[in-house]
Amino acid sequence: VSPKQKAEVVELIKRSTDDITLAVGDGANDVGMIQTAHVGVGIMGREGVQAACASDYTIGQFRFLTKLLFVHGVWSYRRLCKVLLYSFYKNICLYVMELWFAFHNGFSGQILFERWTIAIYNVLFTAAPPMALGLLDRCCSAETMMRFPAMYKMSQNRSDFNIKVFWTWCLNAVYHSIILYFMSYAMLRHDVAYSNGQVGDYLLLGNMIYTYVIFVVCLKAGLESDSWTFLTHIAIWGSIASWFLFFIIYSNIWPTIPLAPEMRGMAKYVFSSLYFWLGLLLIPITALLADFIYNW
Amino acid sequence: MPGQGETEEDHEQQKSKKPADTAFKQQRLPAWQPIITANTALPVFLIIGLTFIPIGIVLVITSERVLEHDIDYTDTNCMSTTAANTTCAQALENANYTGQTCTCRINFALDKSFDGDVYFYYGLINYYQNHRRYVRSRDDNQLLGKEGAAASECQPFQKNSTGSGKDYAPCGAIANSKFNDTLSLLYGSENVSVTNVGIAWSTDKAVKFKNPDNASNYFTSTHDKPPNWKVTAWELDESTSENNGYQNEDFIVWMRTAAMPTFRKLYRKLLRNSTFQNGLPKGDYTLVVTYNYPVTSFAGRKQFIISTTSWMGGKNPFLGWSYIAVGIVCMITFVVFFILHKTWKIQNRPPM
Repeated sequence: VSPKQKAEVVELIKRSTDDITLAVGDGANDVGMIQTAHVGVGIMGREGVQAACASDYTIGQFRFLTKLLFVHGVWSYRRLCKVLLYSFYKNICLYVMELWFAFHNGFSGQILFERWTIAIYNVLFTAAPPMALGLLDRCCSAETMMRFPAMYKMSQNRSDFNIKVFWTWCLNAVYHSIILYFMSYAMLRHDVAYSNGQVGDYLLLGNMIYTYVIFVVCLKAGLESDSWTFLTHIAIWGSIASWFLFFIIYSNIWPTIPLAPEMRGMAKYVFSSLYFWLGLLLIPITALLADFIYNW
Repeated sequence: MPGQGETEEDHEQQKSKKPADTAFKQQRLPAWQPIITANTALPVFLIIGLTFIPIGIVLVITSERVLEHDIDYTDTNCMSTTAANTTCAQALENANYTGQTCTCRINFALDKSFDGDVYFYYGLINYYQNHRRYVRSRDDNQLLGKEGAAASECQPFQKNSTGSGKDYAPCGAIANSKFNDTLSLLYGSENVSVTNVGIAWSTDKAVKFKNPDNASNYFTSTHDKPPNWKVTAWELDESTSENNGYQNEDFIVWMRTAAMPTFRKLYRKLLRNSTFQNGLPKGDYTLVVTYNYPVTSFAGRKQFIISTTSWMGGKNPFLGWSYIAVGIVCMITFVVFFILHKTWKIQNRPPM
């Protein structure tokens, strides 16, 4: 059988069915087939490295194919779906709040949070949890997956990522943003957040809400994790800690560094307000209560 | 034929391509796999319910103990003492907002004594300090007392382009719209002693707002006062000389732009001496208003607020009631799932 004929067989299956095709081969004559199939697996070794170079995945021996599919394939599918959904979720949760705030600021486009804290949201404060989900999460151990090959089915029926799941996550994000914004808004309605009678400003409310968002979003990643490794712990608690650290530093740089005059003194005034701490205990738990019950 | 034909180097090269056999690289990291079962979830709900409800009750009681008295003096309450039958709002309007002043006196009674520290606020309603164009209309470098032209964000309140051409000090819409009513209280015929020290954020006063060198010259000759101000920044407080210029505490409080269109700002604090040692006694009071600040053109309202505080802050029972509500929801969830769990357990018991 020539390489071209091998590729044509794969092409025939692709055209006549809706299925995803996988081709595995070890020689130079398998390159065409490997490239035509949706997933190409090359076996490195006996007949050279051409097949391996042209493939999406390379394995050392033919028997490793089962582990590639039943363990890493399933894990990869579930992880990718979680990372995708979570990435949409965390951004919708934060940015939709600007819409709720727009109802209260005359739709003038004023942002509730300081602009650099918004910019660094995806870069630093919520970057680690999706990475932990995507690299380390697993529903079952490798041995279990190999022992019960029927579990492969759970990655074959579009159950983890489809239109319904996607919109459920989006609505979940909107629900969280409503709880986080409106509860904080009502909590600080009368402005006086200190026993010495002083009042705050819009950034006081904004930074409190931002802290609650970081908590909710990071804990949501934890709730969605099927397995908590020590790196997952570092990702989640470390992200929250990184926000606190950044907040403290950022609140003290003006005017030594000509940046963020509106943040000067914020950390001191947020942390010295009992409303903040009491809200921190209540509001993230309220937001995640429904998720907790649903996961149960 | 492989195997015999391989050299030592080939063998080593093949060996080095193999990823290390560590737990991290081989996806074997030990992990806690939390599966939420009834045995783990039910205690969580019970604990949340049992802690939140008492916290909520404490917070509601604390908020109920805070005393507050609001007086809306925008229009009908505040009748001009000079012009007959006109409200101060109308008096300002009749003079076409050319900086007229109007005084009024409002009599009211406190039916409970306000014990402890008492704070006086002015409240504004339908006033959008959180509008984007407004919030950015300031120059924080100028407020540090630095030399240099006023920033362009302050436009159209950057400099007096129609008149002297000098920069406004302070520039910007936030500064220009500074609240300038004077509010004072009389207890019978006695003045209620108040202080205006300590109303602004300490970090603002210490770091963010600094007067330039040669301040009186700066504010009175090299720079103009903002168009809506009656006096220059250097004349804001006649009685305390340090409380002038950018470091005037009323000014600093105003520059902290509020989050919502209904807000209050700290105006004065009660000085607890002689008659007012324990707070504001019960009785009849008069609020004397020097009405300068026009709000009726945009359907705004003004209030004078007298309030005590609790260890938390002002009077807002929302947090307390939320705690109670969430606590009750958790308890209900606990009870419902407990019953379901027990009945299901009985149903699923294997036949004997």
